[in-house]
This record gives sequence, structure tokens and C-alpha cells, in this order.
Amino acid sequence: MARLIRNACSLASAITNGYPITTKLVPAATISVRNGSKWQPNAEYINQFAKIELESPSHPVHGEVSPEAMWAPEPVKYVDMINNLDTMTVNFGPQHPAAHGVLRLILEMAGEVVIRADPHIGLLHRATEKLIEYKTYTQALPYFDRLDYVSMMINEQCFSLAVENLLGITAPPRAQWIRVFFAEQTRILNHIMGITTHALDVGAMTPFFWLMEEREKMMEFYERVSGARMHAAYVRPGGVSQDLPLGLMDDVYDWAIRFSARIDELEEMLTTNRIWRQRTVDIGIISAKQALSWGCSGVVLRGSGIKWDLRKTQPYDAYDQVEFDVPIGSRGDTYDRYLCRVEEMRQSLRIIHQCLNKMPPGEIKIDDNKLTPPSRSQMKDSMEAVIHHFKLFTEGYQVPPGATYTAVEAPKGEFGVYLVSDGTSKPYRCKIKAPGFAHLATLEHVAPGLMLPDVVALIGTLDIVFGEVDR
Amino acid sequence: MLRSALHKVGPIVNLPGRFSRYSCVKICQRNQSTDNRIEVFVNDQSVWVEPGTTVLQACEIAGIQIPRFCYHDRLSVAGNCRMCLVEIERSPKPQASCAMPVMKGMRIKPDSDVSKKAREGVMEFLLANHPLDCPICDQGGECDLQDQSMMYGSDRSRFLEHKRAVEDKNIGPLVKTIMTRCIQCTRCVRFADEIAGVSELGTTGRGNDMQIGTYVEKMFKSELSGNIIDICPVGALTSKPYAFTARPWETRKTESIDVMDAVGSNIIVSTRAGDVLRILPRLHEDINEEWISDKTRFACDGLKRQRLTQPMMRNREGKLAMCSWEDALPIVAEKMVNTKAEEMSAVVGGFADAETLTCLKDLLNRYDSEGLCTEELFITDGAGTDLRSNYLLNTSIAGIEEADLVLLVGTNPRFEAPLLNARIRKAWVHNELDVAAIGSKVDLTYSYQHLGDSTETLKQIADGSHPFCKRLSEASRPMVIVGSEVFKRDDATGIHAAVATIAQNARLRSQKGGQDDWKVLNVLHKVASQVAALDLGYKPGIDHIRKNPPKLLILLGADGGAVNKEDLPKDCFIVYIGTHGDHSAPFADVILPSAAYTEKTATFVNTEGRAQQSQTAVSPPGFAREDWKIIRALSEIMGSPLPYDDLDGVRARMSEFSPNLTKYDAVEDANYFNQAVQLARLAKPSLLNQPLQSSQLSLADFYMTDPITRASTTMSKCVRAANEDLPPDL
Amino acid sequence: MALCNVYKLSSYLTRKSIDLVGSTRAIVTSSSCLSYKLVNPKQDVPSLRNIVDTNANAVFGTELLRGLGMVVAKTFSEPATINYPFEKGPLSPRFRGEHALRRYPSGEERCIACKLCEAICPAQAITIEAEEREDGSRRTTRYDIDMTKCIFCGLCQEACPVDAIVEGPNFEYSTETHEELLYNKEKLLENGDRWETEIAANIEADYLYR
Repeated sequence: MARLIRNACSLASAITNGYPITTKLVPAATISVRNGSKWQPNAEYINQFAKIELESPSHPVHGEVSPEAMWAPEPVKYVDMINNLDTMTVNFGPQHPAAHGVLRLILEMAGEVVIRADPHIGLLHRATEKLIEYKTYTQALPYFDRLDYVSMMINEQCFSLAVENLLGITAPPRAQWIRVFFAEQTRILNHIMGITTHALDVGAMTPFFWLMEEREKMMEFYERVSGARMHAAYVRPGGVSQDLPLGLMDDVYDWAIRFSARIDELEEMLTTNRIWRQRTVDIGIISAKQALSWGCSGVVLRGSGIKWDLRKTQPYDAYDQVEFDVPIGSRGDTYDRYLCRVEEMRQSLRIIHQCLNKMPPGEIKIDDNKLTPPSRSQMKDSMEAVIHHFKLFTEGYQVPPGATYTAVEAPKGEFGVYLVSDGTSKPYRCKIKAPGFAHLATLEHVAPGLMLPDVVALIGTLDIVFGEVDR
Repeated sequence: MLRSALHKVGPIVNLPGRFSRYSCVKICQRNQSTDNRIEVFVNDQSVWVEPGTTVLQACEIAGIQIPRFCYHDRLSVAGNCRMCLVEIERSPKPQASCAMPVMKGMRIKPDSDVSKKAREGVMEFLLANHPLDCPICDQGGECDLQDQSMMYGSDRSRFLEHKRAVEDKNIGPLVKTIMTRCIQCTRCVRFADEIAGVSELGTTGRGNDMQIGTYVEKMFKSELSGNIIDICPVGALTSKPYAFTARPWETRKTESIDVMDAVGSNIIVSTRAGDVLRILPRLHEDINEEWISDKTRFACDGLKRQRLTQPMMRNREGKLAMCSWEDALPIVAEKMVNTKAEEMSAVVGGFADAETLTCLKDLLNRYDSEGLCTEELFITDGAGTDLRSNYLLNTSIAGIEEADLVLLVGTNPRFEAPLLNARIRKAWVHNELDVAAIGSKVDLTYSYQHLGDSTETLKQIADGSHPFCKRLSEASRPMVIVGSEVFKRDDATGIHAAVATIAQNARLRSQKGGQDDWKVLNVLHKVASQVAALDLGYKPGIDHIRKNPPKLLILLGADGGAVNKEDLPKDCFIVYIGTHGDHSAPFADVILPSAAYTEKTATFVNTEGRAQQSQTAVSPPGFAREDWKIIRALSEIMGSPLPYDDLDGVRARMSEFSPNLTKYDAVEDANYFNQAVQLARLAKPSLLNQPLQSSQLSLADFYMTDPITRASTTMSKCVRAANEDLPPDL
Repeated sequence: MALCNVYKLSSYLTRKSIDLVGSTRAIVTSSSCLSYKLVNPKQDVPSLRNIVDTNANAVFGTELLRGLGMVVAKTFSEPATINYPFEKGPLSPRFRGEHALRRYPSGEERCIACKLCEAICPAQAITIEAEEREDGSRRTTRYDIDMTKCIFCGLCQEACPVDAIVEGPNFEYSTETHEELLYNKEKLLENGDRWETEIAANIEADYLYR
């Protein structure tokens, strides 16, 4: 045995041109089976390492390398030309409240002026896309609430539309109207949060307190319809999970007729206010061309004057049956985006009124128990219902093979789901296109040249939510 | 071939499309007239099938699965569930495709609206009387009724009337019945009649009152009874020991090999969180088809009881006490180093895997000891174990289906190897196989010619003076199967020689005159380790120990009762390596706990000589370790480590001993029958007058035969039920 | 020079084609739906009125005063806040709060160990083990919910065929340690007993929609 190992070694060293190798590298060549699953080093592979010796940095090819040179800090690239000083690197976040979540923004500062902004993400990464590959379509739905966690139902709507696309079904009209009804409430929820926290960041605290009350009321509507104030899991492929409870539409109407006054109050506090205007007008300008080339969408795109709204250009659900105007800015600055958001809230209110008036009666989810679970009463006496309930909650429904990119106009921009099905009950791939991701990336281009407090205003106006950026 | 050639010719001839296709078909027909296949169309796709093929099979050949409940590939056609209805052109009504033979030019439309509607209707009727049991039914998640309802059924019901209820039957401790769920597919009845050969299940009543049952309440007495759980398409027959334990989606499935007998059935081990929950059969056409015996299926609860989980050592008071590996191994190592080679021995039991056998052999050989024995006996005289053909089931299990005469000598295959017996029964049913037996008169589930149990008969057949010899010589493919139990007798050599002579004579006198490679001699082993041990050169039987009383004895799971404390010298140091505190562990001086077959990736060789791998489904309990690793560790402490430290290394060494041990799922021919017979004559065999008898005569003897089954509560319930003929839990 | 012209032409053509694409992307072409609205049309229009307004506003701070007036007015309105532990916001019957395992009025537990909730749970927060009880019925021996894993999606109560596992109206169950939030069957049944009245009323109130 030992002789065989020795032979094997001399053989191996012969192939490796005399480079010393230990017996550990080449196992004894006495094994007669192929051992295909095991990797065995070959001469070419070993030679590649034989050239570099790690003990000393000196090397005939690479020359003398000193350890100090290897570990030297990066040379300073930016020099403060104004003050003739070195620049200063500032970590903005991830704990800073104005970072809107867990954004770590590395700012290179020349005095008060930002000369480089480098957003770092990943602190809220939860591998949602990968997780969804291991969940049935039903189970994947609650994950969407948790992406952009200030516009929950719109994310759900996007996923549901994507699955419906693959299944080749359409939700019944009432379900579509309910979806629009709640999508617009969600838009208001989101814009309240976006505008008031933005104002809070730049120093205007009052609107935040006033409008949180309205947000609270809307979350109550959420809770009444779905059972949860935020993570609703209400919009489902094939419709919505439950019908609107009696009286909800009356209460929404009561709220809606009063809400426009709340928007007026908000505008009274901000729109003409000289501090607000000084902090926002001509700050963070994104030109129309830039907005297009950086992949901006939603308000960031429209604030720069591009006429693009998915609800208009490719209407989904009942959006082709409602009337509303899409606000467009002209300068692409923070102030225009603010104006767009305020106007969008008014338009959403207009859509909500139309929904209240036009809400059709009928089914709230597709009447096919192969896709949507049967009702409780059916399960008490129908064997088919029991079987379908059981299978839908354990295996889920099979979605025919195919791929779809389905996008909706989320409050922040175009929220899309690229869904690939391989015919099983779990998605093969689910790529989520989050608008905030592209908007955050513009920070690197827009922030240089701004003052530090303007970066805060900029983050606010981009309306970043880390649930969707990091996914 | 011809077709593709024609396609190549096609454009050159330049005929219009229709004509060229027509001519092609014509030529094809002419070409295929020799094998008289006929053409049918499934969804307008042409399929060539044998005449007599059913419509369902034709659809399957075309790649279209027809839903079914009563139809089963391995059972006769019943045609009573109607789920397989398909539309056939020019037939007024949809036809039950499982029972309908194809006719020339038949146009089958399995995907047509009529077919779909027919299925939906049948499904609705089946569910009309089905209880709303899914949430409490063990079949939920692996239920044909559920799956086909989702695939082919309607999504709502129109029947809201009262459902029929049927009283549950008690048919033993293994199969739980909830007869209200039954859809009367009669698969279980047909299985019992045709495969198990126990006509105990049947139907009573008709129409809405039809019931499946045993008529009078009694146990379903079969060694294959668990298979009716698998074939039941609904939750009417479920596993009693597994009741309510787990759902199919929670369990992890590991494909493995069974070691309860020497057949080596392929199994799936279902586990959850380190627990073996149940064992299911895995398809292997050459071994177990899709059945497994009840011992294989239900003995897995024995893997959790009576287990050795920590090394143990005798303390000063002479009692076994828990200790650590670090305490136990050096003591064993020291003893081994200080014991003379000739005073060192090892005995291996029935569950030892080939890897461990290799390591143990290497370890003892290293110290010049040759004391390697198996507990199970075999002959050592004559050719002994030198020729593989002497100790294998040479014909192979699947080969039984080609045989036309089987002579069983001193064996009861029904309980020693239930699946081999099922194979014999299959051939007996379908191929008119004749069976004769010398040995105890037992119920083998098929009729056979009993030639008595005396050795005299054997002798007469061997020398050609018995009337049965005529029958043997007439057979074109005879088989002689000798059970390993005869080797326990003192005249084992004589019996083996006689059997070998019979086999050789039959082979030469058979119609092919021994020219083909048909093999006649077959040895049926009872334990899973024996063939590998003999392949590796272990001595069968413990004669070696009797002749050289050992000072140090390693018992590798030797719980068969061959080694007793009384037979050994007083100062013998006994090391027990095994899984269960069964027969041998109590008198050992050191106990080293090892892994059972579900807990290790290991090689087992079945009685055909087919090497197969078991896979690790769960980790060994407590401090128990894989057997070969224990021996490897011991060798390291002894100061001369064995030259391999991973499974691949051991297997490489194993294949140096015997290359067939690593050629998985391959059967190597063993072909020295002539020489074996000649060598056997040299040993001057003689026969004693004792009758040839089996130790397992009734079903109660089947269940508890080894440490795992002895530890199993299910198996003990079975023994009680089989003895009393009344299930113990009612 | 010629090359330059070709370049200009080509860039013009591409721009033209982009415009074309842009116009064809709009799928809905009805005039009512294609309405866009400029949010700041008055911005920077140098009319006399505009200039006067802006300057007057700058000098007198009218917008600041109006805002101040609004804040002062708001301070006299009723506050939106409630005195929480003593006052609570409204909850609908659908509210998804703390879990509970219910019983039948006879005292028999509802859960039949069908494990649908365990299967559907996206967070894999539920662990169930079951076996046959002496009377032959299917019951759980273990029913654990890791409340720290739970995402309160409500799929478990939707899956339950016997309304055994429900998310009740309780949302005040904070604890000091993680371990206290690992609920076992005993705790869940106790929750069910404590909240049965409310849960039953909620299910009754919502029966139209289930």
C-alpha cells in the first residue's frame, strides 16, 4: 500500500514538473473505481498555484511588493477646491430618521456641499423573491404587503393581476371596482405619508399630525375590509378575499367628502409657505431626459413633465371606466413633485367618489373553485367543496406555464411583477420591479452640488421605502 | 427505420402529400404484418399497438393519462369505477377504456367534450356518497379521489341529500378501515385474490348497499396485507400504526433498501424531524415490483425502541454502565492489541452492511486473525463458498416468471421471502408454473405437489429414481430453490450436494440441454448480510469459534442466538457492536452502539447477488455511530489506522475484495455449476434421516425474527392477532 | 460635412420614431381618459398681477399669517387622540389579532389536526403533531404557534375547515421575553376560552361574507 502511494506521488510529481506536492493533494492511486463525483487536482491546476508563494511578497514576475503598499488606504480622489481642504466623508443613516428607513448614504462633503453621494442598500433584504419561489401563489401574496409597506394593497393588486394574466382570467367587475376603490385609498395613504414626513424632515411638523388622523381613518377602512390595518392580504388572484362589509361605503363617503378640506389645510400650510418653497423650489432637479434615462416612474417622472401614467396608458381593472386627470409638473424639482402628489390625492378622491357611485353588485371573486376556495356554507355539505378547499390550501392551484410582466401605477411609480410559471403551483421565478429602487439610484446623480439639508429634502421627495428597495 | 427511410425517399418521388402518406402507411402495414400490430388513433395521433391492448393502454402509449380508480396495472381488469370512460368515434356512448380492447382504426378521443363530461359525471356520482372526511382522513394529500376531483371533476356538487354510511370492519392490527369512504373499486379484493393469494376480502350486497369486507369479522391474514393500503385510491384502507401521524407534504422521503429479508426490497423511508414515520415500497421490477412485505413496512417502529444509544461497559460490580466513546474504545483497543491473533474472533449478524464487513475483515486480518464468521450457516465442504454460484439465487427473482417448474427444498418462501413467493404465485397464476416442494407442508398461497419432507426423497430425485425426475426432465426451464435453513442441519453438505446434483441433472436434461445460460440451482437466504459476507470471504457458521475458543469476541449485531455466553470461555472479552439491546448485548463486556439500516448509507447484497445501497434517512440515535466508522476509529486507537477514512475509500477497498459489491443494482452471473457438483462429490456427502422442516410455519412465525422486529410493538400485535385470529385492539 | 448631415438626419428620424412609439403606446385613446393636468401653470408668469401679489406677499408675510391662523384655529378643535389604555379604537369583526383555539359548546376542542393551517402558513409558524386519541378521534398532541414568526396574514383561519384556529380580537399580548410568545396548545385553548364570546360574536357578525 505504502509503496503504491509512493509510486503515485512520484508519478504525480513527474506530471507537475517537479513541483513538490504532498501526498494529501494526490490520493493514493490504488482506487479502481472512477470516483467521478470527487474532484482530483490535475497538473495544470496545481501549476497555477505553484507560481505564487504566499509566504513572501517578493516574486520574480510581480517584483518586490511591500505589505504596506498592499494595505495602503485608497488615495483621496476628491479635493475641496473651495476651501482647499480634504473632503469629509459622512455616513447619513442607516439610523437617521430622515433616511426613511435603513438607507446608508455615504456623503463626500466639501464643507456643507455634497460632492458625492453613494447610497448603500441591503439592510432590509429579506430574500422575498427567493422565498416566493418556495411558496404557493396563495402563500406568496402576503409577502407583497410587506414590500412597499405604505401602499400595501397596490402591491397585492399587481401580483394578483400577474397571476390572473398567467391563468388567463379576469376578476369579476365588482372585484375590479373594489380593487380600484382601495387602490386609490392606498394612494392617498401613501401620499399622506410621503408628503407629511417629507415636510417633517424639512421642518414642518404640523401637517404630519393633522394628516396622520386621516391616515388612521383609512387604516380603519382597511381593517374593516380585510381584518388588518396594514398588511391586508385582501386582494387575491381572481378577485378580493371578502366582500365589502355593510356600511363601509357610507363611512368612506363620509370621510371622502371631508377629506378634500384636509388637503386644503395641507396646502395652506405648505404650498405657498415661503420656507417650504425655499426648501423645495429648484432643489433636486431631474430633467425629463434624465428622468427617462434613469428609469424613473410615477411622480418622479411626471414631475419632470413626462405624460405617463399606467392607469391611463394601459388601464387595468376598472381604471378605463373612471375619469381622472393626471397631474404633470414642469420643472422636475422637489416642489413640482410635491404639487403632483397633492393633486394626485385630489384625483384619487375623485376616483373614490366615482367608485362609490358606480360600484356594481355581483361576485367579488371568480366563481371557480378550482382557483378560489369555496365558501364556508358550501363546505358543510359539498364533497367537491371540501376537496377543493383542502387542495387549494395545501397544494395550491396550478398555473399554466408562461411568463408575464405585469405593472401597476403604484403611488411611487411603476410597480411590476415579472412572474414565470413552470406549470406547478409555485412560481418558478418572481422578479419584483420596485419604483423606489430606480429613484434611489438617481440620488448619486442628483445629490452632488446640493447642500446637506437639501439631501434630506431630496430623499423625502423621492419617496423611498426600504421594504421595496431591498425586498 | 423503414419509416425514416421512406421519409427520405418521399421528396424524391415527389408525390402529392396525401398519396405519399397513404403509401407510407401501406408499406408500414405490410412491414408490420409480421408482428400483427394494429393502428389506432388517439386524438387523431396514430399509435401502433398489439391486438388485445386496451384503449386505456393505447392512450398511455400515446402519452395521454386516463383517470382511473379500479384499474391497476398489476391486477385484473374490473371495469367498475367508470372513471376511465372515453369517447370513441362511432360508439353511441363513452366506453370504459380499461376494459375495452382496441380495434383496427379505432378513433379514441380522450380529450373530447364527451369524455370530459363523462368523467365529470362519474366523479360527481363517486363524491355523492363520499363522506366530508378530507380534513381527518390520512389519505389527504396523496388521495387519488382528491387529485382526480381537482383534475377532472366539477367544482361544485348538486347532490345535497344524505350520504350513505357503512360500518367499519376490523381486519387486523395493520390496516385501518373507514368503509364509508370506500368507492368499491375492488382493488383490495383483487389484490388479495390475485397477488396475496388469500381470498379473504370480498364484496357483499349490491347497488347502494355494496360493501367490501371479510363477511365475518376476522383478520386479513396475509404477509403482504400492507399493500392494500397503497393500492386503495381513497382513504378507506389506511395504515393503523401510522394513523394521523403525518401529512405527506411534511415528510422527507429517502429512497433506500430493506434488510428485513434477503430479497432487498426497494423502499422509500418517510421521515420527519429525525423520526422514521413509515416505509413505503419503491418500484423495482426485478425485485419487489411495487409491493413490500408487512415486516418491511411496519417494523419501522422497532427502530425507536430498545435502541442502544450510548457506549456501555461492565463496571467493577460486573454491571453494564453507560460510558463515553473515549472510555470504551481505548479499552477495546487495548484488549485487541494484547490478544493473540488466534484468540480473536468476530461474528457478524444479519444486518451487517458490506462496508462494515470490509472494515472488520481488514482490522482482524491486520492482526493476522482469520476468525471472521457469520452467524447464518452455510456449507464449507466441497466448493463451499468459493464459488458464488453455490450460494446465490442464480435464476434471479424476475427469472421465476420465465420458469416452468419450481422445486422448493426445505424452505417456506412465503415467510422467508414473501416477495419471492409473490413472484412464484404470479408465475403460477399467469404462466402455469408448476411447483413442487420437499419440506414442511405449509400454505404457500398456491397449489404445489408435496413430495414429503424426508431426505430420502431428495436422494431419490438426485439419483433419478423418483417419479418426479420425469417431470423435472420434461421441464424446459426448471428451478430448484433451497432454503438457507437446511444448512443448519448436520448434513448440510449432503443436502446441498444433493440439491446441486438435482439442479445440474435438471439443467442438463432440460430441453436446451444446459446450453443456454438458464440456471437451475438457487439458494434462498434469510438475512440481508449473508451474501456480502460470503463474497468478502467470511466463514459461514461459528464452527471456527467452537474449535478455537476466543479470548476476544466481536459480535457485530449477532443477535440470531448462535452465540451464547455458555459456549464461550469464562475469560472471553465480548465486544458487541449493534443497534438493539436484544440477544447478545446483555452478556457483552463492552457495547458500542451503531446505526440501523435507515441511518446509514451502506451496501447490502441480496440473495440474487445484487448490490444495493441504503441511504441515510435519519441520523443514528444518541451517541450511536455508523458501524464502519466505529471500526475505523478503533483501528486508529489501536495504532494502525485502516487506510481509508471516508465512504468512498471503504468502497474502493470493498471493490478490491469483490468488485460486484460496488456495482450497484447489477447482477453478475455466477457459472461454475459443473465444477461445484464435482467438488461437492469430493466431500463425500451423506444425508441424515431427519425430516426437512421449516421453522416458520404459520403467519405468527413470520413477524418477529430479528432485533428490529422483536422490538416493534406493531409486530408483537400482529403475532397476537395472528395467533388468536382476532385483532387485539377490539 | 456630408457625414454630419447624415448624422443629423438619422438622429431626427430616430427622434421622430420615438415620438411615434410614444403616441402608439397609449392604448386608450378616448379623450376623457387622456387628460393630463399641469400642476403649476401660473409659475413664473410675469404678469403685473403676479408680480404685485408676490411682492405684497413677501412684504406682509400673508401666507405665514394665514398658516398661523389655521394652526391657532386647529388648537380649538377636538383632538384626534384617544386616551389609550382606557379608550380604544374601534375594531371590526374581521380583525386579525392574537390566535386562539376554539372549543365546541360541549367543551370538546374543535381542532381535528387536519394540518391545513400548518400547510398554508407562509411563515411556517405553526407546528402540529397528531395522533389517535383513545376514542379513535383525530386530535393534536402538539399545536404550537411561534407568534414571533407569525405575519398575521389570516390564512390559517381561512384554511381551518372547523373554525378551530381563529385570529381573535385581542391585540394586547405583548410580553417581556421571546419564549412567552411561543404559544402551545394549552395557551391557545386558554385564549379560546377567554375570548370565545367575542370570537363567536365576530364570526356571527361576518357570516354573510364567509
